[in-house]
Amino acid sequence: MTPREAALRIVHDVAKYVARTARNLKSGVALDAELVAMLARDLYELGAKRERASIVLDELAVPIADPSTNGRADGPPACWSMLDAQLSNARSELRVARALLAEADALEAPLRAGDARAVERGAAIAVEVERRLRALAREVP
Amino acid sequence: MKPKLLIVDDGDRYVELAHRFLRDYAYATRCELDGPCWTCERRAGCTLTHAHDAREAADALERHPDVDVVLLDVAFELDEARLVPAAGDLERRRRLQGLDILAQLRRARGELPVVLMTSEEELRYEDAAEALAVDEFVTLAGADAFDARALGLLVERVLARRRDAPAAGGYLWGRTASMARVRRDALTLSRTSLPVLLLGETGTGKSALAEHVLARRGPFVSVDLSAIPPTLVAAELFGTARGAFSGAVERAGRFERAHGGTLLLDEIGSLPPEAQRMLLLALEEKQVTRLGENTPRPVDVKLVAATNADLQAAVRAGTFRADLLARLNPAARIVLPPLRERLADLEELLGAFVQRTFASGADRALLAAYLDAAKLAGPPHAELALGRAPPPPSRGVAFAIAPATIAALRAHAWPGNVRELGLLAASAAVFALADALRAVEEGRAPSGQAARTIPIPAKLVRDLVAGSWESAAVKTRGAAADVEAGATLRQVAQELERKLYAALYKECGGDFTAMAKRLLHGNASSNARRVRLRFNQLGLRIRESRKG
Repeated sequence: MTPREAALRIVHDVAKYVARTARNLKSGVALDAELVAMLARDLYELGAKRERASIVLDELAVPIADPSTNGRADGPPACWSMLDAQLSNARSELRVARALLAEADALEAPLRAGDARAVERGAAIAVEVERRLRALAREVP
Repeated sequence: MKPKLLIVDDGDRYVELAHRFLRDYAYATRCELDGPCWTCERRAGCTLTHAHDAREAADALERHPDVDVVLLDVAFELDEARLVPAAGDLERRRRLQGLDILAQLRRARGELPVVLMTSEEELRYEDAAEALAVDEFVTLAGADAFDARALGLLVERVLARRRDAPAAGGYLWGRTASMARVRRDALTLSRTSLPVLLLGETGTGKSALAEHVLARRGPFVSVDLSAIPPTLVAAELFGTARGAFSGAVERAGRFERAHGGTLLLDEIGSLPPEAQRMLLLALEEKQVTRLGENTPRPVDVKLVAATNADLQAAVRAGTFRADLLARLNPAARIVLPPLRERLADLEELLGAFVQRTFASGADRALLAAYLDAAKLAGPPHAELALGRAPPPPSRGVAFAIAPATIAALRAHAWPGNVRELGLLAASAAVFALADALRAVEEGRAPSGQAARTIPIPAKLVRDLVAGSWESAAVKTRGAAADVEAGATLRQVAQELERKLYAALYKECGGDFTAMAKRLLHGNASSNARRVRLRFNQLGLRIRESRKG
């Protein structure tokens, strides 16, 4: 998978779904159990395997994060360094998204229990992760 | 009545989202049952169903033919076997599967509104989707993501736009001043529960106005009172209890069936006196009593009454109750003008009728067959083009009609009004299309973009006009043009008949037996007496007719 294909998959498989519920919530309004469960599914049960969003992102981001797997065999060495330079901004967005999702993972127990602060923070993280991943996709040539 | 939605999406996440947020708009109810909901029969009250691929979408539409709007995803992560068969790169087919499904939907149900659920990255496919006539785009993800709550409003907007679209059977207003008044009054009355009285000649669009504009949400029940024997009208309208009369069964009447919605009583002037009394009671007390019962049942019905008869004259003649007429809100009556008084709308109406003809059903299939045979891409779409050789349309086909043919149509009297025009437009387009298809199959048709223009021959239109309503002898507006402005249909018909008799008298050299053979079947000599009698009744005189 090329970095560009990986970026498109990240947008489709992670960004599109991680903030599905969060972007539709009204600020300051308490969430009912149904919405909390939907938010938890977005953050911790993504895709067919129902994995954490952080795990799905790690798997899909390999061609962007790891230079050794991004198709170097197909091009001359001069292209490698150019590609690495072009991916540096994307990697920066990826680092932020990963950190946010790690914070969300730490919130799983209180969020699932419906703790208001955890739910509010989880929703904010989901929206920000989506924004960062879309920015990442724009940075990948 | 709640609109029914079909969501076509490979995953269940956005289906769940729609269930959660559209519930506020009463489109859907939450359901915990497993499995694709298009297979479920236990979801009472649920108006949202979903399918995961093209085949399930087709199954869902077969199972729920009353779906109002389709919400369609663009990218589908499916096995190849579940994708719409097509050539090309598998990854690209997956990314654009929604467009392939849209093309299938357009071929099968061209009239069905489709909202494409895109994301920021998929927006670049809008051009391709627009070619398939998608109704609306909605972005459910990304920085400009649509609030899912607003989906309800978007669905309302799509439905309203489709309801008003001529091709979908919406009401054809035209642009004449008389129709502008009708539109203003009808839209006002559509927002009230007041009864509405519709007046106008046959074929002017009274029933369509009642159904598409005046009706409120809920069931729409239409009754043609002139088609029901007078002895059965009361039972039909108000229902019967078992044993009310010989053979009577327990049965709700049309009033009860229209409860919560709208009841159109067409040809109200044909209502027998006893039924008039019962209708008056029903309107005043908002309840009906089935024949053979004593207990009234409450009904909440918006009544629309239509007629081409002069109800004031009927009241004066004692055949229609004055108090019932007063209850039908005659002060706010809507009078639909005949087509001959709104000829400025003729071209617009023709175009709309051509579009409507090919929007669904067998005629759409015929158009699809033509496009396939002529190797033209895109979904079936038809429009009207004025001119002998108009430029080919960007999609579908255009039926070309010459200005001289339009002029000939303007000269026609249109006694059947808009209904007559609609049938004529549909017939002309279908015959022209059938001829074009035959030409393509026999290899004598133009190819490429030129095949997108199908001429409607002037002779075909002339033949259709000749056979549409009146006898071949007297058929043009010129014959009726001698009638004074404001003449009734009966007066117009009598003038046409007089012209026919005068022409025949001249052609037959004053021989009434020869005229009778042309006009009537049966015994020639007795018919000749009848023809001569009618000749005199029409005010014709032997000498003046011979002068011709």
